[in-house]
Amino acid sequence: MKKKFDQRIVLRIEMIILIVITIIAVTLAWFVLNNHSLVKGMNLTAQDDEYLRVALQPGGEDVDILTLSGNTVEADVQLPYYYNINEINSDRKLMAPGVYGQVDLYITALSPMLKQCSVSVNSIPEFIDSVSENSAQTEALGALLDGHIQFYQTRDEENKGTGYTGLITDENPLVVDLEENVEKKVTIYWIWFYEYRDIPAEGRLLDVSNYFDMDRYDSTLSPYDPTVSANDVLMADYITYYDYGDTKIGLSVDNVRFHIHVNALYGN
Amino acid sequence: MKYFDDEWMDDATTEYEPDEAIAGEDAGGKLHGHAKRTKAYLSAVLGAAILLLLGTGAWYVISSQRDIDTVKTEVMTPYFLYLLNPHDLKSLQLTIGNIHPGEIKREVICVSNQKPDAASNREISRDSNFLYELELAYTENLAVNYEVYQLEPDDEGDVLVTDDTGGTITTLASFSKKYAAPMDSTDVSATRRREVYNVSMNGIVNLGRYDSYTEGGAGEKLELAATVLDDEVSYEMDYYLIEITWKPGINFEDYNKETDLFYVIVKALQPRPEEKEN
Repeated sequence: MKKKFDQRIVLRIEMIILIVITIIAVTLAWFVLNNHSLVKGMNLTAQDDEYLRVALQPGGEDVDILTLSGNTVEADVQLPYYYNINEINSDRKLMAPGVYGQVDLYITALSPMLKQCSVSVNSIPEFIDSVSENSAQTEALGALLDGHIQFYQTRDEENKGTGYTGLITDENPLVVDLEENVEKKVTIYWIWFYEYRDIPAEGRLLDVSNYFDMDRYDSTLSPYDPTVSANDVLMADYITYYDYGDTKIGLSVDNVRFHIHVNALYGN
Repeated sequence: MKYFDDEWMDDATTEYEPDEAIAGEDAGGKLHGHAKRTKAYLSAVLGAAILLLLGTGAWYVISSQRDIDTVKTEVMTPYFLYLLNPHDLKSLQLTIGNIHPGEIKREVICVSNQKPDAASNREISRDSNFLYELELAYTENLAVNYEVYQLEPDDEGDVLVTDDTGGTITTLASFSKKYAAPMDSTDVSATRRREVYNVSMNGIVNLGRYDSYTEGGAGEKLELAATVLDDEVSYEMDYYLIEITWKPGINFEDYNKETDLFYVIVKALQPRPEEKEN
């Protein structure tokens, strides 16, 4: 009898807990939803469901709204015109060692609960046919590319070839402070460093194999030292291997695009 | 009559005889059916609650993340530059040899983006176009001039590439000059000496002279292109005549047994990208 009583109580408690959790979750969702939407009649538009707005233009539509509306949404990498690259290539804008640009996002928090967001970005290469069929090679080349095309939070406008700080990676995304209903411009600076010694110290902390051409990499080379100075003899080796990597990328990759992920951070 | 709950719990713990479970007004039969419905209701509520939770969670996730792709940008093809023999397109074998008083030495070279002996070794997979620089580097023990002429293949041309081994002279290739005048060069010796020696040049004998050629006779840039069509690559070859002549009014006796080193260098012009000012 007592056993049956205990079983009954346990079952009822479990049901109550589950229902309470559900009610809390729904209530919270309602609160957030109700905090920034204007419901007219019974029609709720997609825009009213926004918690975070990310646009590619000042005051622009959220990228997801544009996509749902049937638009192709692609951010501009703002690649400048280079005399010694574009002029001899029929004015085509090309990725090459030494080029740089930036991507601008306009982020707005639509809830007082949203205080920050994180922004991470990766290069997505499209390989030539003969390479794309080899998954091991594409994986290695992808890692190599990450050591050559990098993303930073700040750039010295007087020194666009080397003046970068705030490396952005998956492990260290860009964290942006937000204020409710205040649009914030977030700029991601990208660069394909021309030479190895142009890379800031924080960028050299990436896995050394990212820098070197897989076919020519000398495994007997001294252990990688990110603090080696520009005059050190090792630097000449790093520079050479980095150039090999540039060539490898140029031979294997048809085009590159960047993938940006914005994630709302709660509870800050 | 026993209460519902007790009887229902009994169901959970006691096995009924089938006959008892089927009996219409039998207390066990009614309670068994009712328990089944209750369990069904509870399952439905539980399922709905779980779905609601999942949906709410999904909404949170979807509404708090954004993924954006940028436009695709083409990657520029790397530069490939080779010095080749003008007749067989193998790696250049440059041999000047002796230059006797009054003699004019002529050497024909080929600059190309095609790898020597690369019939089946294609490196370029996309269209390519780049500028390059031709450079002559030489010591100055001999009083000679170096001039470079642009050539073009010509079966009737008067610039011949010959082979005189075995006692007979065989014409391997023939060219004609594109322009009557030699190419203009720039003396880049000071820059190159700093790059090569990187130390004080005091006391170094024969620092060498470096002449750079970047434009053709009509002022056009030296350029090589490769085009890819139907998986086949078309390369380009540029031919040059290097003419070495004695300077006028010299005493040949002064240069008896003198020797010079002579180098031909080609470099793809891949400088650091220079942004156009708006």
